[in-house]
Amino acid sequence: MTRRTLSQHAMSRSPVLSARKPEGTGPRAAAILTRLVSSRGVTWGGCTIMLIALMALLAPWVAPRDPYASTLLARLSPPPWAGGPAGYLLGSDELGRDVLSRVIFGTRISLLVGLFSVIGAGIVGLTLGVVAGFYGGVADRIIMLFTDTMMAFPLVLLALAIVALLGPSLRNLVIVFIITSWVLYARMSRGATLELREREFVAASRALGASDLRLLVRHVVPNVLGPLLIVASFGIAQIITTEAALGFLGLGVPPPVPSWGNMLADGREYVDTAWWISVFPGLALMITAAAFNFFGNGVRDLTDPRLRNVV
Amino acid sequence: MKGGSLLWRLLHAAIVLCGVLTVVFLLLRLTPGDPVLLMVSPDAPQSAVVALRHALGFDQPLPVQFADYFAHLLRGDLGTSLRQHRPVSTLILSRLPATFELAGSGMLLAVIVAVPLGVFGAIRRGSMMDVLTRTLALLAQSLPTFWMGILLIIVFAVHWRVLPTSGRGTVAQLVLPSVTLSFTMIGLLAQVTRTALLEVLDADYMRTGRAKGLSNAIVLLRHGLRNALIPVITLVGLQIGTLLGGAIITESVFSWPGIGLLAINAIDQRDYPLVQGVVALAGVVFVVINFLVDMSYTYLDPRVRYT
Repeated sequence: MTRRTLSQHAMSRSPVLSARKPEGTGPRAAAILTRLVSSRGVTWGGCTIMLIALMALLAPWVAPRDPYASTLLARLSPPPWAGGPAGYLLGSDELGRDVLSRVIFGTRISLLVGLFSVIGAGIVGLTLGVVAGFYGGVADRIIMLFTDTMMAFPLVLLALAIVALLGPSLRNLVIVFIITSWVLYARMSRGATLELREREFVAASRALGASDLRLLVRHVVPNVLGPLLIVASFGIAQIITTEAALGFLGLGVPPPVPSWGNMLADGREYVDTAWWISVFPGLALMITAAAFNFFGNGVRDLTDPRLRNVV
Repeated sequence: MKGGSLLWRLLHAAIVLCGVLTVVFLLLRLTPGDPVLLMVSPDAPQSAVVALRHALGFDQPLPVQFADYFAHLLRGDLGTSLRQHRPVSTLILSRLPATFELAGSGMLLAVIVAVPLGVFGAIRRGSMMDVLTRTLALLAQSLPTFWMGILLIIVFAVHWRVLPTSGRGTVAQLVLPSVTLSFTMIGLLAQVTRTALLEVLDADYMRTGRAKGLSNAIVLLRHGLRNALIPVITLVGLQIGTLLGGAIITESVFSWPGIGLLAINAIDQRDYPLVQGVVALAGVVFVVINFLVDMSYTYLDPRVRYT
């Protein structure tokens, strides 16, 4: 037996490593290229996320103007590089507010909603998923029926209906996204827990007399957390986009707060005369979503290619 | 989710269906405050509020309301629209063809673009084209549906004036909405097709096929793609929710007279029976389609048998 087959044999013994052939087993050049692209995704995604976060934190210092200040004489002026007057780098909106400054301040709403929703949904999903996977039986059946039920609703529609009932506000948006997106984390954590439950170190710990709680907290949860963070990266992108969609439909954070969804809703009336109002907040939205998607994708490919079919 | 008896799958679908309808029921009942007050105008007289509360059965205990709701559902009665004063089921049925048309053409377009992209990526794995397609697929996934719609309107309707921005009836009016909607699926679909095909490319039956003299294309289509189809079809089933969600937003952007526009107007007008009806429909469609997807495994892969 050559060394290569030996190591392959060893890999096939471990349930975690054997489930799927990693990308890198193809031709060498292809493997290197794939790895490079993956890590490039992580670098670019991570740097962009950091830049966006900085922009949100430092918005009052970065933004060239007050995002609320309207100058009625400068309504709907195009960007200077598209024939508009100087002073509004990305043009101004229908109330004469600076689009660039509003886009910069809009990062705050998007990141806040995204972050808090994912943390909340992650905690709920992790708890239920780990319990379902670890104990199995009736608890598992019930929790899984619950997730299957929630999965049946389109995220946007359910979020719209609940926001309409609760009334749009930052807090309610976060609540709605927790209600609608915990399922993803529950399913993922359950799957990972099912696999971990059978692993040697968990069995060993149990044999040493560890309590269920200790097993869960010390061994299961820390190992579920890694894949969970990857899913969360995709989750943030999805929630930020959905929040903007709700804003676009008039059910986001109430105006005049500068959020990308609100700006896109405002710009809707003026697509034929002032395209810049709609284009730039959407561009910011896409860059943000792409940064989180590329980051999550890259980390997944580097650490755990098997997750590719799960998320 | 493969395996298990047909009976169990059916039972599971039925239980989830009941769960879906229960969530829809609770959606309105568990709202803080009096839902009836949400439905009437703020200056409505007290007598009107009491009358509406009674008409909706909200003055009954919750379990009675629940039994009542299910009894009506079984008869196909989804309630009456508060604003349009017509049965919710009639309103929904009248809008259904438009949404099917949009969702169907969007899905078809996505499959036509994404499956060849995925196949290409799999057989030329690691090539620059593969890397480029995968990057573009991920970008497409990050593209917000409604922004995509707005961009298409700006370019094709406002700037070039070649396509209409809204309405339904002609093929030209279908183009922009269905392209917009297809973008919600292309990225993920291409990715899953690629991964699924990669899994089967090295399989023994592929080599056997080639060894017995079949051309590469035939082996790829008849053996490769067919075996790679299960994850793809599963994804399409699971994406029905996303597709419907995308359809709602797309319909709003292009004023496409389907279920989504109906729902958004109903939410605007606080027409809750209508909102509930649409949410229930979306949930039911999802459960039914995914049940059918499960069943289709037996056809695609004869090793999977439901007994």
